[in-house]
Amino acid sequence: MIEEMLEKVKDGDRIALAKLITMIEKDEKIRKEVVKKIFACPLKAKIVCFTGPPGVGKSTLIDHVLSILTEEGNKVGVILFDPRSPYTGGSLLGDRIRMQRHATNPNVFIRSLSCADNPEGVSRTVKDIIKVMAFSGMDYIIVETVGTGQIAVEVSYICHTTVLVLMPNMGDDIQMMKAGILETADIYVINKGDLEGAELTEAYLRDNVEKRNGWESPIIRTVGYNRATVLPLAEKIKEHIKRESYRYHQKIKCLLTTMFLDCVSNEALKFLKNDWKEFEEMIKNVEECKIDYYTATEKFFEKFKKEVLSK
Amino acid sequence: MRRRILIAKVGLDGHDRGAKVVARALKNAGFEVIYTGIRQSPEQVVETAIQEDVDLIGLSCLSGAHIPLFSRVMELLKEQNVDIPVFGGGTIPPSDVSALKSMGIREVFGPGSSLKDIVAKVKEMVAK
Repeated sequence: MIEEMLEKVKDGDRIALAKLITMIEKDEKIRKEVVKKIFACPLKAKIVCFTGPPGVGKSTLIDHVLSILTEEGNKVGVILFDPRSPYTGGSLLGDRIRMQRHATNPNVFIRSLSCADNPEGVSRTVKDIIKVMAFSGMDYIIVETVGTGQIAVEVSYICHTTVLVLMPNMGDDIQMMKAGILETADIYVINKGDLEGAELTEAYLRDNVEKRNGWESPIIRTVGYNRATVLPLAEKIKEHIKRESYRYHQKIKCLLTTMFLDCVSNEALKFLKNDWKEFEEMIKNVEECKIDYYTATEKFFEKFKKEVLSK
Repeated sequence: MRRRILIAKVGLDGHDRGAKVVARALKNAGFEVIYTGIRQSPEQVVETAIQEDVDLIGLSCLSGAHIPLFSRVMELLKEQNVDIPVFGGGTIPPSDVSALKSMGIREVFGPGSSLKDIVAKVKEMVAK
């Protein structure tokens, strides 16, 4: 069944693509099966990530970029993240409202997803979803993170190009000097650039953006309701992707290693919790403050080496 | 399993308070709610429902054009061969309810409907 679906997705069947994304999201078994089937397929899609605080205009900018890219004949997939409630599990996915004029464009496919389990602002399944979207023949894939402030560095490993969207009056120069997301972006955007304070924000940012790998990250001022101001952003995205392509190889290597290590530690924990009774007791002892977690870890490894590895 | 619901406003009508209140109630009931915003064509609604792979579509209309708009949505769903249940709401005269139901709209919530009732009925509709 999966094979048949992948065949349909490859042929550009939108219903199949939509269903497959749902399945990947909800069913771990299917997710694994799909990745096993397509992991080595060469994909042409370039991946661009939009990140930044809530309400700065990420979705609105994506709407313009979508217009520009599709007018050039590109097929574009969009993955939009909004937060999921920790109380009810519910969510209001309201990013696509800004780009609904592209809803009926046959070269655009937009999918909104909720994200709860990851401070990085994208769900843990996003890499697999990108893979499937790319498999359906997209030229570009745009990922919008949950509105996020200072971390969310992981996305820059997934993407060719990371665009950080800010707006005027978001804090003084100290804010701009901080580590994290402000260091990792490839392109900086100050949206709502017609508001008072834009100049100062740009100046603070300019003082603190440093050259990385020979790329001087541009700072672009945009105004959400004015498409002309977004044209330079689209140009810079394309320019950066061109430069980045050879380095992307290296990025993907790092990413795959991380994925592998993640999976191993997940599975190892599952195994320990389910199949090693003494592990449960160790957890209990830590919970009840009978032992500190550093000592508990040391003891755990002693025991693990003796009882499991030596067998 | 989280269920996904599309709340959409069809036609040239900017009265979105009702759609937003319902969207929020459904979010609080644990659903994943995708809201399209106002002034959507039936084509946009159906294409969005497909791409988002939703389990249910809720149409809101306060312009009086619910019969032609809702029926166009139902038509397009059939054309695209997708089987997603649809419910409706807005300023819909009680005398129009049977016409809407006969075109396949599962439930119609007019003015004065309680959120509790809407959430309960929605749960029934996605359970089927």
